[in-house]
Amino acid sequence: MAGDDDYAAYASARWPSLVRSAVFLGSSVEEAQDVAQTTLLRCYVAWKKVDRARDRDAYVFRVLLNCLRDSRRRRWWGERPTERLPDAASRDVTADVDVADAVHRALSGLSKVNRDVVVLRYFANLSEQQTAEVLGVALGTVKSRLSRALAQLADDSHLLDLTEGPTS
Amino acid sequence: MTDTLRELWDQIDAGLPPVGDVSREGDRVRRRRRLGMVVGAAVTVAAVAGATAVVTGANDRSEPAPSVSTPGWVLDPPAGMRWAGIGRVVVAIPRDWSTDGPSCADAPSVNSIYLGTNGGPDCLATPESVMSVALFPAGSDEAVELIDESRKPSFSFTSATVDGVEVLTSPGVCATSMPGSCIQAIVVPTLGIAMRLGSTGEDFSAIAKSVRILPEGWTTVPFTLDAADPVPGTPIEVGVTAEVVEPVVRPVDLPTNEWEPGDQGLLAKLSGVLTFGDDGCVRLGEGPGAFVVVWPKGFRAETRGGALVVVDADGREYVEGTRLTMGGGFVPNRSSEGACLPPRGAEVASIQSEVEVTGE
Repeated sequence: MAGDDDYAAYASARWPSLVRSAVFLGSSVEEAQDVAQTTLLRCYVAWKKVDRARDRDAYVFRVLLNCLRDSRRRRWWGERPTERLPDAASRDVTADVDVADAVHRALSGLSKVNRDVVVLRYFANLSEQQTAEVLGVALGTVKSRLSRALAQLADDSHLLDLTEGPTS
Repeated sequence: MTDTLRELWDQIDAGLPPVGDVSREGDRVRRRRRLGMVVGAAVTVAAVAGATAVVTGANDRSEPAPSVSTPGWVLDPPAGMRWAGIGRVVVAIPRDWSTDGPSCADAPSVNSIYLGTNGGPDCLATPESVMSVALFPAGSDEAVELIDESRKPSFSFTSATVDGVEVLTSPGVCATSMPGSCIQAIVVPTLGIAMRLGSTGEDFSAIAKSVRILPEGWTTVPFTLDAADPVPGTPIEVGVTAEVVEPVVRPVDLPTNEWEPGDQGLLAKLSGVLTFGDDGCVRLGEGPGAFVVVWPKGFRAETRGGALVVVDADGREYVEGTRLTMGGGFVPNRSSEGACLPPRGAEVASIQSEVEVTGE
């Protein structure tokens, strides 16, 4: 069906951006993949609605933020001690953990609302208007949050460490 | 500064897009939603036959809340509250709570009780102060998962006997990572049912403590037939334990045209309640003003347990009694087939737009 092809092309193209945005918004890489998958599932089920949306990217990233919020609710519920570690071998996720950790440290100085606006605008490459639609705020609010966020990042010690490397 | 972040962005290994897995799971979700629609309709039809007055009263907030009464057993709701739940499991909730369900998966924006399988992708804002009860029917993924968790010591559920049935309740806990996000689970393993209470920080212990098990011969029913958006019901006496059966499905003749989304079409507004006549014809409107319409390409119709359902080319379903609005116009009938159509050459309403649900 044409809609399925359209969906498949769109989902494939946006997958990296959705996963990376979720990492930048506070998830581990594994959680980010789960959240991105849930996002795409919700969009698949309502694809006609997504397709009719005035701005498809804005709609999908809005779903991503909803899924992230839901994921956080479930995470603390689902995080329970386990009696033993799983036996199954899995791919080495050390690099993923390192990168995600660096991202989280670099962005730790930003408030949630400022982090959202930076990630959507500068990394997911949404326009200011799209960012405003995703966050449900006025365009001017996006601009002022961006301005504040960039000023915070410029002074952020974690990010300065990453930029300049370790000092001896 | 953003260059450093951009480098980190590029270093994140997103993996391969799981498009095939998502499509397969999405198809399963769609099928389940359609099945839910049929089941919801079947239960309501079965239950309303014996208890129309109770159901009507329960949905009218100006009427006294109904009590559950059977010989030797009376259950009156506390003042200002009413009973609502799923199957034989009910809790007392304030009478002004919504039953609309959340507009996004786990986050109702107003005080609500809803079937937990509801949820769409449409909202973003986190509400300021909201309490909710999500209901998970027997056999649902969520009920199975919560019942499984209730048996694990690490989840610290406490057991109590309520009305002769074991009810397990988790501790009420709030997320440290998400201030104002508190939940508590209640499960009834022998009935396979689970509930999840949620709040943005308000104390929901009174609701948790109010859980009751209706006596044999009682159940709850949905308020509406809207299958895509089922809502939890109020207790009614059905005389026997409700049994959900797959309704008989029979195809219905539905005239169609060649219009498809993307084609140009006539723009006159057509609107009416979807009805199914004794003559086997699908119409918009009721009584003398009802009219037969020719539907877009790919539409079909069938009855399920006697209730009409029109299905569009994408599988979206429109249930008898739903108000529909669409674009189109009156054109000469070019078909000599179809017992419901006017004579060849006479005017007939032809739908040439997407169909929208505009009310019940």
